[in-house]
Amino acid sequence: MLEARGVCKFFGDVPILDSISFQVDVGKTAALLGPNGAGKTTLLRILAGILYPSAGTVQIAGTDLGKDPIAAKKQIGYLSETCSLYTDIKVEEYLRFLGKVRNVADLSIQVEKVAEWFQLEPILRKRISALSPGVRKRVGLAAAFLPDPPVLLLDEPTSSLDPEQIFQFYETVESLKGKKTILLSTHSLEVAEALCSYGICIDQGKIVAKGTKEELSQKLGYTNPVSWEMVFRGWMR
Amino acid sequence: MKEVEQRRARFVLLVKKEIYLTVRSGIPFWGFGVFQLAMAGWFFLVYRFFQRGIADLGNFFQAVTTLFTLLLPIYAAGDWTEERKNGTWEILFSLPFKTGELVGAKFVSNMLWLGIHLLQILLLVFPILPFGTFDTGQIFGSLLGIFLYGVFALSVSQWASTLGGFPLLSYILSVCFLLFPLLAPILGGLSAIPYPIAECIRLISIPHHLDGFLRGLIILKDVSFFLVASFFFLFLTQRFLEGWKWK
Repeated sequence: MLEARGVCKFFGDVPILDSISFQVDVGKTAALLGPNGAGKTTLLRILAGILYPSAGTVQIAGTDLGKDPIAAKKQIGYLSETCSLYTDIKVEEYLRFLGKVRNVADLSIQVEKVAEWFQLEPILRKRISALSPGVRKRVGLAAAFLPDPPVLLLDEPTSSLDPEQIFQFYETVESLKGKKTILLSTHSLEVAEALCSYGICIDQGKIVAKGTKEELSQKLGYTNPVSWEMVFRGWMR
Repeated sequence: MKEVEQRRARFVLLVKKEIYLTVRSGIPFWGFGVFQLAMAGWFFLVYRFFQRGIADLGNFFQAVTTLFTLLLPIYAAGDWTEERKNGTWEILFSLPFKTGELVGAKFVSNMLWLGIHLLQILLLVFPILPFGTFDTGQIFGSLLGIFLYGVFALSVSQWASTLGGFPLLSYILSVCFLLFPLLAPILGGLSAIPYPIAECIRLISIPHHLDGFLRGLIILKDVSFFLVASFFFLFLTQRFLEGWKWK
C-alpha cells in the first residue's frame, strides 16, 4: 500500500504541493494525472524518498518513509522522469549493481526476467552511453522492476517508447496486477486507460480529483463510466 | 547483526561502483601521469637534487603538498557536480543508503587514488635512499603528513563539489579553498592584521600543522587538526546534500 497524508512542498517560498493526501491499495495501479508543472514529478520524488516533504507523511508498504527511510526505500522501485543512468557502465553491470544493493535473491534469474520483459537481451553487454533514449528508458524500467518491490513509482514510463514497447510494458504491468502497488505519472491518457483503475488528478500542486474512474465519472454527472480522457477533461475544466 | 553485514556489503558495492566509474572516466590515469612527470620534473630539473649533494627531502615533500593542492581536487571536485549534472543523484538518493554512506563511499574511493599517489612517491624516494644518509624518521613523518593533507584536500573537494554547477567550477572552488589555509602564514604575517586574528589564521594554517611532520615529528595536535578538519568537511558535505532534499 502507498499512502500520502497532507504532503506539502515548498521550494523556498513557492508552494509546489499543497496538502496532498491519497491512498493506493495493494495490487492497484493508479495514474497521477495533471498538466505540466502540476507537481507530479516532485510528488513522485517525495514518495521515492529523494526529496523531503515540507510537511506531511508517506507510508510505503506500511513503513513510514520519514521515520525509517532505508526500510521504506527497500520497498520501492523508482523510474525517474529523465531516466538518468550511469552511462559509462554496461546494462548488465548496472542491473547487477542495483540488484546487489537491493539484495535481490537469484539475481541472475531476476536479471534475465526483467531483460525479457523489457527486451534488453541483445543489449545487456552494451554500454548505456551507446543506447538511444528509448532503450535507456527500458533499462530504467528494468531497474525499477528488478528488485521485485511491492511498490512501483514510475514517472512517465512510456515516453520515448515505440508502440510495440508500450504494448510490452502494458503486458508486464498487467501481469503484475493484484500483486504490486503501482503509481505512474503520465501525460498519456491512453496509458492510464490501459492500465489504471484509480486516478489522482493534480493541478498547481493540489488534488482536484481522486478515485476510481467510475467514482469520478459519477461525480461529473455521467451515468456510465467514461474514459480517463473525459474524466480528466471534466475535472481540469 | 545480519543487517549490519548487509549494510557493509552495500557500502563496499557503492565504493566499487565509484572506483569503476572513475577508472572508466580515465581521470586517474591522467592524474598518475601528470603527478609522476611533475614530481620527476621538480626533483631532477627544478630542485636538481643530485647536483645539490644534500640528503634532505624536506623541500621535495613541501612541493608535493602544492602538487596535491592542484591534483587531488581533480578526483573529488566532480563527485556531486557530475551526479547533479547527469541526474544520477536521483538514483543514489532513491537507493536504501544514508546520505552519510553516499558521502563515505565517494571519499573512500578517492582515498584509493591518494594511496596510489603515495606509492608513486615511494617509488621515487626509495631508489635514492642508498645515495646518502637520509633521516628515515623525517621521510616517514613527511609521508604521514602529506597523507593527512591529502585526506583533508579530498574532503574539502568533495564539499566543494556540492557547490559548483559544473566540474570545472567545483575544481576552481576546491583549489581556492585549499590555497587559503596553505597561504595563511603570509596573511597571518601581515603587520596590519591584529594579533587575535593573526593567531586564528595561524591555527588553520596548513604549513603550521605540516611543519612538524616535515621535520619528522608526529605531533598529536597536528594529527588531530587534519582528522577533525577532514571529518568536518565530510559532515558539511552530508549536510549540504541533505539540503538538496529540502530544495
